[in-house]
Amino acid sequence: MDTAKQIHNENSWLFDNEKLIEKLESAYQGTSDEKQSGSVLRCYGFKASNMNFIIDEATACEILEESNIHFVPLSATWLIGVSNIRGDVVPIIDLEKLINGDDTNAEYKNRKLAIIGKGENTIGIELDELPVLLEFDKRKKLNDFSNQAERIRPFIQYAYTKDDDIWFCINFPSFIQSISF
Amino acid sequence: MINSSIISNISINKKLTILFISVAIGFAITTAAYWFKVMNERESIERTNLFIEYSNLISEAQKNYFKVRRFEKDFLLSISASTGQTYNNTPLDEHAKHVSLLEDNMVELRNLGDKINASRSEEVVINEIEMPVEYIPELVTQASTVVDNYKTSFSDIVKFNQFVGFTDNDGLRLKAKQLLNSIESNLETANNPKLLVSIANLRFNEKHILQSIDLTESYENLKIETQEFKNILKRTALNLQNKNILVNYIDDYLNIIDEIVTNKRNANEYTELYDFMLGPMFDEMGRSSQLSIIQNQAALEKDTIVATIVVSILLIAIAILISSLLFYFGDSIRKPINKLLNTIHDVNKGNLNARVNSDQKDEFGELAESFDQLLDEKVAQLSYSEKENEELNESVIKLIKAVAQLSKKDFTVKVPVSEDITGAVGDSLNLLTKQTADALINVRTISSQVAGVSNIVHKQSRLVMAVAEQERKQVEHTVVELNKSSDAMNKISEDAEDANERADNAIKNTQYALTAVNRSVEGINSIRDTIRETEKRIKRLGERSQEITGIVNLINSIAERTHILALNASMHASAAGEAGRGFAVVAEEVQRLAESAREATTEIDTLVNNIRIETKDTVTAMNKAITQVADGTQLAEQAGEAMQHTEKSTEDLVKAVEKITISSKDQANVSQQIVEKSKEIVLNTRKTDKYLQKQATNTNNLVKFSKKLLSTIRTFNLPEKDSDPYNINVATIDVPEISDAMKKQDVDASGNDKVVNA
Repeated sequence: MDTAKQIHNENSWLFDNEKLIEKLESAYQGTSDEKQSGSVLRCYGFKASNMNFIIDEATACEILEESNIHFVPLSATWLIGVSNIRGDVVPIIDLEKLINGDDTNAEYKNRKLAIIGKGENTIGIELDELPVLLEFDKRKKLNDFSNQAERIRPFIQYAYTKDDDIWFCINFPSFIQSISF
Repeated sequence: MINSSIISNISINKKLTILFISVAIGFAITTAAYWFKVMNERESIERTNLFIEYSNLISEAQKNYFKVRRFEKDFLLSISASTGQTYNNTPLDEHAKHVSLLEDNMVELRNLGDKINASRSEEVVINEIEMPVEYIPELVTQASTVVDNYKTSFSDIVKFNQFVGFTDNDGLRLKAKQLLNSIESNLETANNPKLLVSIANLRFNEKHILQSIDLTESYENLKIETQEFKNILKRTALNLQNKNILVNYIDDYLNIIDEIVTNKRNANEYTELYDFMLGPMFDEMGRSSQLSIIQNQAALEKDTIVATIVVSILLIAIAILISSLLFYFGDSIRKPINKLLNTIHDVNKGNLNARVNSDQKDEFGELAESFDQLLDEKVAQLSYSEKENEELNESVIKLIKAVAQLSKKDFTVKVPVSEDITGAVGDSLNLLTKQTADALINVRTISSQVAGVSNIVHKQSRLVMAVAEQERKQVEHTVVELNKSSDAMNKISEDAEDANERADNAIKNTQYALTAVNRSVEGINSIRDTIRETEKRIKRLGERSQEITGIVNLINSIAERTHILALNASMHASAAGEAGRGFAVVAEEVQRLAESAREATTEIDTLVNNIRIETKDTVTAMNKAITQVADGTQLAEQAGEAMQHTEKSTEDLVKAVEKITISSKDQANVSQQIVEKSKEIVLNTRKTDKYLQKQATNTNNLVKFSKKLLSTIRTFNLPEKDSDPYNINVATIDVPEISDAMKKQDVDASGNDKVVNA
């Protein structure tokens, strides 16, 4: 009895992670009923510049904080500055000013940044809140984007409503390429 | 013979001086003789040492001389026998070395000879012939001259031999050898063995000439052989020219041999000369030194004997002289002393006419004369004393008779007064008798007065006894009262002691209370310190809470970062599609953990904030408590001060009570002492009473004795007196009656002490 208890104590970490293992197994072996049905979309979303964005699977995104942002003189007003992200010079932009065409100079508020894109088509966006895992009802998908800002409208792929908020999925690579610094 | 009268006339001081000078001179002469003997011995020993040294040096010189001669012979032998190409110089070097040593010896001998000559040496006797002292230095000088000559001669010998040739290859010997060789070479053609034999004989004789000392025979043989050679040569078949050549050769050879013989003879002559000169000279020197030592020792013995005889004779002469002087001086002292003693014996036997009658002029003569004078004076004094004694006896008898009458108590008798010494005694006795009679008269008068006064004293003593009895009773009553007073004082003292003990207890209680108050103050102070320490610790707890807040913030920050990392991981996993699904699960779990951590930290932060608030409240409460404790401490200190005042007051009270106690004890002691003194007074009063009774008895006795004295004095027959200076009227003395005195005493006592009524 003592030996069995000792073995149990030695492998207690295994029993503590049983739930995790079950989740892992379920993640590799199959999907939930809802997902199988395709009515629910699980993806991350974040808030920036008073707008809600969805990060789809095709978009590379990384959250950074406390990055050193260097001011670029004589640049566009919406350009907060540039930052060195693992060797790549990434422009940090104020999305609200860019979309709304505000002429006042943007200021970095030392918030968290969402680094979106890969390679040369990478930009940094100042976040209002950290991204959260969201589940959208596919049936609440929006198709009319006429009310949205002209600057961003061509790049909206889709949008869902959730709790009276509209969440946009932007084709960030195209949007980035469209931006002329 | 010494005249005894002359010695008798010399004073004793002069005799002693003569004796002392004689002894001093005798010892001085003896010492000088002994000193001369010692110095002579010393000189003789020094001379002997010089001769011994001289003998040693002669032996050394002889040794070197023998070595010189030996190396000389070695040299001669080596040159005569040498046939080699070179000559060995060793004998010549050794010869020169020892010649040098011999010269040194001779120099030293000359110096020593001078020393011997300088010393006072006796004549040297050699072979029973006395020689002068200078013989030895002369001998040494001659030997030195001979040594020098020998050195010169030996150099000549060497030159002769060098001319002859040390070897066959030099000098005349070489020439001789060459000539014989030439003859031999020319004889080869002759083929005549006789000539060759003749040549061999020539060489034999030549060699013999070179090696032997006696050259004559060899030389003659060689000359005969040369003639024989010429004769044989004539008979040979050689041509004439060769014969002439050979004859010339043999003549030349003979001439060379002649020169060799001449030189060898000269050399041998020198050698033989020194054989007979130096050796005997050294022998003579050695013998003379030995003889000198023996002779010197003999002289020393002779001097020693002579000195001993002289000293002995001197000592005997001094002894005879001193003995003679002592005999005569002693005789001159002994005779007058004996004469003086005989005179004293005669005087002792009663012969007052015996006298010394000395005719000596010295101190004994003066002594005898003084003694005779003394005897004359003493005899005169003795006869005068006898006469005086007879007169004195008569006066004394008279005095005794008068004293016998006085012994019969008759003071009217007069003692006869004579002119001698007893006259003064008689006057004194008369004066004494008169004074005694006057004194007795006075005694009689005073005795009658004493009798009267004794009666008065007797009455007064009775009165005093009555008064003393009364005083005794009063004193006893006083003692009783004092005892009561003493008991009361003792009671007061005990009460004071009790009060003192109670005051001590009060002090102890006060001190206990003060200690308790002090402890309370200390306890309150301790509480205040504890509260302050608690306050500090609570403040530290608040500081720790702030640190915890910092740590919580750090954890929160880490959780947030973890959250972001998990978010990134999840997003990357989502981007990876199907492949990142498992990783997305892990990332989500990590994200949740980070979220849980953040929530936990938020809760901790809330709790810590609550703790800080509580801590702050606690600190405030603590401060209030500290204030209250400080007030309590102040109150306790005030109570302590009040207790100290109380303690001080109590101590003052105790001191006052102690003073009372001490004073009451002192008073009790004083009372006790007064009681004791009163008892002593009672005892003394009783003693006084007793003594007064004795005094009364004695007063009665005094009256009786005064009466008896009067009756005794009346037995003397005294001369009549006109007036009595000590006559006192006894009846005029006022003596109070006892009853009156007692009454007066009662009056005095009733005024002071009513207890006494007796």
